[in-house]
This record gives sequence, structure tokens and C-alpha cells, in this order.
Amino acid sequence: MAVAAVAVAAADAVGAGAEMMPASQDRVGIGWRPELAAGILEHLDEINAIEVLADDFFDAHDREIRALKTLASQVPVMLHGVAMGLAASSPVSERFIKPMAWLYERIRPESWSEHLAFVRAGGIEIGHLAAPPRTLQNVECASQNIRRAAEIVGAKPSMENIATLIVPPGSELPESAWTAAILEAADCDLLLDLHNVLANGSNHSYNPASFLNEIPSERIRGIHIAGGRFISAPDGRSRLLDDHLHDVPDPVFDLLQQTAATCPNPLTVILERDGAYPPIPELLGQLRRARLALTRGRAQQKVPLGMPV
Amino acid sequence: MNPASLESFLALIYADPAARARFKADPAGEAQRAGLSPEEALALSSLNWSDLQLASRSFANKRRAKSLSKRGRGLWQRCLRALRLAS
Amino acid sequence: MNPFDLRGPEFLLFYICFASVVLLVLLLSRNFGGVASSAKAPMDDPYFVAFLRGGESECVRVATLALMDRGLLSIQGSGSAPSSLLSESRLVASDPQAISAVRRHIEKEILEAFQTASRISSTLEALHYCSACQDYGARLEQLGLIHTQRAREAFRYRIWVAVALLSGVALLKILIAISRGHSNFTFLILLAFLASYLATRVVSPFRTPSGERFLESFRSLFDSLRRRASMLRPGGASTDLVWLASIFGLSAVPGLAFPHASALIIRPVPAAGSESSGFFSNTNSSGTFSSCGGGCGSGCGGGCGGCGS
Repeated sequence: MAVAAVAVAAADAVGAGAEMMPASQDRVGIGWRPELAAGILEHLDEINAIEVLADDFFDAHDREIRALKTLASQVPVMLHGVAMGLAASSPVSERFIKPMAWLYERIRPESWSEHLAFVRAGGIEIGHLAAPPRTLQNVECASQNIRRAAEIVGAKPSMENIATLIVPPGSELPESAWTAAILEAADCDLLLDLHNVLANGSNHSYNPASFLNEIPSERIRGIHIAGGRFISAPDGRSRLLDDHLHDVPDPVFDLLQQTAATCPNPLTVILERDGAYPPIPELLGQLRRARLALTRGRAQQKVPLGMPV
Repeated sequence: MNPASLESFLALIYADPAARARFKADPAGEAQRAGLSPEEALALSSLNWSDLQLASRSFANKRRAKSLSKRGRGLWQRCLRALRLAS
Repeated sequence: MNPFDLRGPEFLLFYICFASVVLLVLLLSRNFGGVASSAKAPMDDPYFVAFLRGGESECVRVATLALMDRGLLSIQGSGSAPSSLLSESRLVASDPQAISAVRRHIEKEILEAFQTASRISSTLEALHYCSACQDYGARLEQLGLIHTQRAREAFRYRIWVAVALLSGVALLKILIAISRGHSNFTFLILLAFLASYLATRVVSPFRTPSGERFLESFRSLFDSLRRRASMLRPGGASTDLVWLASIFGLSAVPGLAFPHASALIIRPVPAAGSESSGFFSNTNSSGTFSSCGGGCGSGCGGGCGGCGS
């Protein structure tokens, strides 16, 4: 509570045009899963936003769409797509973008997002998100895809960084520079998935905290937090899988605090859980930890960068 | 280097176990047979086979899950989707 | 062309068409008079939804089931009584201090009512008039989700107008027939009785169109819960049971895992003059909100079968 009080006091003390972002404008929310419906609805006082997997509703009956609209009348809803593959090195067909445009028009959500990934190429569907070669050519194509998607849907997306076990062959840029270049070229925001940062850092031997310092914090507006597990790869090495089936680990909350310390925008943090659901109080506990990390991070903003806290 | 060609090849070895096995046996040869340049074939040689196996397994699981959920989708829902895309 | 000049068979045909139109207009007018409200209806209270679906009766029963599942109410001395006799058993609050621990007003009222062991059916019926139920009803009316008492009375007036029209037209034809020396109007009398009887059986719906849509949203959002109902386990670890019963009715609760749920399902009361046999179900004539209403549909389940309490 003392930390929160410091954060609020610091916000009051800073004058107009300052970069300090009060913690009170940050929000925490959760991904909508039917298995969690009861718990989510009963705790809307602690849940500021809900993220819905858009692909689940592209074939929905009208009554399911109306139900989603009813939900959106109670709490801000964000649509999250997984199948566009906008970071591909070739143009993405309109038929993969139009369903989102249709759903966006019907629901009028607060925002929509997709992934910095490709999901198909050469007529082959991969099935999920894959990291494309990080080249300048890819940056150009990806940004064109994102801009075209923004035109078709009628709103700019936030783009999420993905976890990848494979370092994309033929890459010219590190992930942070590639991400920053696409965001700049497409003029869009970043949906920063902190567990993906943690997993990539663990699997490809770099410091996740350094990655955060290398991406444009002014473009971060949304954050995903999730959990995963370490598995043993066939060659015996340990790999961190971003499976969304486990609680959010401590390092992710540390990264969240670090992000809140440098990001000038209000942040919406979404907890992703796709299965092995614990009782709702445990999930709410993770949301509370996220709030605390945000508050602590915002309190650190009053300290100039480079100085010890 | 053509990233689009690389992506096509990656999609192939991610999704096709036979292509993946052929790639493991002869990475450079398989890349060239797919029409990739020597430079691109060289880039592919950096792929870690263990990670490729893990990733491919994950992609296969996702494809299977999507296929199961599509099977549950009736004809009416498929028509609905086509109508929505056409409008 | 004066229809009263039509010969017997032609007039009967005219009367059938006329009666059909009157009954159709009556049916279509059921939803007139609903009050639209711009206020947001709460989505966090399952008992609110239970009331919307089935009035005080369902609200009280679902809350009682929830308290039984959480071990706060227990059946006294049911032993191995068959479930059909459980409604005549007694319920008692397991812990007198629990009243201060429960959150919802309706739960407090129920626990208070069962402080001493009391018969289930009569006590639950008395709870229809508790302040928590009155609050739910008033709130639902205020939000325009259920018809007001005035709207229901207005509809009853329309029924009597319809009956007057139907019997008046038939009577007029009979008088004209008598004046012309005809006496074969038995079939017309039977038709007039049948049409008038049907008019009286068309019941004012409990829910407004907004209420129907709101309930339908819940049915859609919780559809997966209904499909996995058989996986629910007793013990009150989650509120899935409460939401299942609230939205889909007590008959959706799996009997094997929750055997005492059947004690709470309303049995049909085959009393003379009962309104329970209306083919659109009934409205309680006592003026309380209790009703399965015309919107019983698939959601009223077993609670609708004997709505004539």
C-alpha cells in the first residue's frame, strides 16, 4: 500500500506534459474461456478487461455474437486473432482478414490484436504461429500486411511478439530490432507478451530484461502474462514451453514491473490461461500480483533511468 | 535471400513429416530441390533438429485440434462464414 | 358483403379465420408495454438470472441448492428416502453463524428461514415473498427485463376484450339465425367456446423481449457448462453448479452427483382451477412475480413442469 501511495503521490507531484503514468490508469484483465465464465462474471469488479479469441467467433451463430455484445456492454472487450499471419514475407490474402473485419464491425470492441508471425506459406497451413526470417524485406512486407489489415478492419491492430523454439534461418536482425522496425513501419502498437520474452530469452540465451530495453516502450499498450513449463528436448537440452497451462512465474512479474517503470502509456495486462484451470481465486491472485507489479513499476518511474531505485 | 521462399520451405518441413525426414537426411540437397539458393540452403543448415522436432510436434497438435473443432462445425455454419466473407 | 349473411358452413369458415386473427393479434400483443431501460443489467449475480428465468420460485430453489452444495443447509433425517419424497423432508442450517458469512441477501434470508428444521416445500414457498425476491423483481422490472404488473394487467384486459369479441360475434350470428328460423348453430357454439377458452390460455409472458435476449446471452455464454454438466462435482468448490441451475434450470443439474437437487424441483399440482396447464405456462395470479412465463423454452427445465404453485 505504501508503494501505491508513493505512486499516486508521484503522479500528483509531476506537472503537465510529464511522462509519469499513474498506476490507476493501468488495467488488468483475463482471456475469456468458457470454462472460466462463472468466475469471470462474478468478479467483474476485479477484472477491468476481457480478451476474446476472435477466431472462436468467426463461425458463430447470431445469438453467440449477441452474447459477446452483452459481455462487451459490461466490460471492455478486446479481440485477439491467431490465424492471419500478418508478419509473413508475402501478402496475406483478404479472406484471412475479412472475418476479423466482420466481427469487429459487429462487436465494436475496444481494440484488436494479432501476432508477429506467419501461419502459412506455399499453400501449406502450419497450424500455429511460426517466426519468419527477420530480414528487412520481411519488415517491409509485414508492415504492408499490417497496414492493409488495419484498412480492412477499420482500426489498427496491436501486434504481439511470439515464442519460438526455432531461431528463424536467414535472419539479418535480432528479434528486438526486427520488432521495433515493424512497429515503426506499420505505425502500430505492441502487445508485449512477457512470457514469450522469457521463453525466447531462456531458449536462445539472451537476457529478457535487455530485450525490454531494446524495444520501443512508447509503443507498448497491452501486455500478456502467462505461464509455461520446462521440458526436455530430444537432444537433452531444457526448453521453456509457453503452454499457457501454468501459473505466471515470478520472472514474468519482474518483467512486468520493469515494463511499467519505463512505459509512458496506460497498460492493459491480460492473463492468458488455456487449460488446467485452477480455482478462480488463484487466477484473481495472479491479477492482483500483476497490479502490484504495475504499481511498483510506476513508482519507479519517478527515479531517473540509470539511477538505483 | 528470399524470405518468402524460406517461409514456404519452413512451412513444408514443419507440416510434412516425410519432408522433414528428407531434410534431416540431406539438408542442402532437399533445400536445393525445393528451389532455394545455396545461401538459403546454408541458412537452413543452422536449424537445430531437436528444436525442429519439438516445434513440428506442437504445430501438429494445433492442426489436429483445429481439425477436430472444424468437424464439429455444421454445414450451416460453413455457409454462414462464406456469406459473411462475401458481404 | 355482410359476414352475418353467410350461410352456415361459410360462416363457420369465416369464424375460424376471424378467431385465428384475434388469437394471433393477442399473441403478438403479449410483448407490448415493455419498458426499455438504458441502465446496465448486472451479469455477476446468478440468482438475478434465476429470477429472470423463473421468478421467485426458481431464484429461491437455486439459492437453496447452492447452500446445500456448500454444506450450509442439510436435509434432516432423509436417510434413504426416495427423491420423490425429499420435498417433504426438512432442511436445517448446518451452522447458525453462516448467515454472516454468506454474501448474497437471498442466501441470508434462506438460512434464516431454515434456522430450525423446516419442511422444504412450504418454507421455500413462503420465501417467495421475502425482501430479497422483491428486490430482484423490482430491479428486473426497472431494467425492463420482465413485464411490470401493470403491463400484465393490461394484457389480461386484452384477453377479456378478445373473449368479448369472439363470443359477441358468435352470439350475434346465433341471434340472426334464430330470427331467420334456423336452429343448427351447435357447431358455432362449440367453436366460440373453444376460441374463447384458447384466448384465456394465452398468458402474459414473464420476460420482455430485452429480458429474453439477456437470458439468451447467458445461455450462449454458458453453453459449454451445460454440455459438461456431468463433470460437475459437489462440494461448492466452484460456482459452476449455481450458474448451471440458474440459467438452465434444476433439471440440468446431474442427478447422480447432486441427488438432493430433485427435492427442489417443483412437482405439478393437479388442483382444480390451477393455472399450471396453460399452454404457454402461467403467471401466478397472486400478483407475485413467480412465473415460468411464456419464455419458459428450454431453460425452465423441470421447474416449468409444475409452474402452477
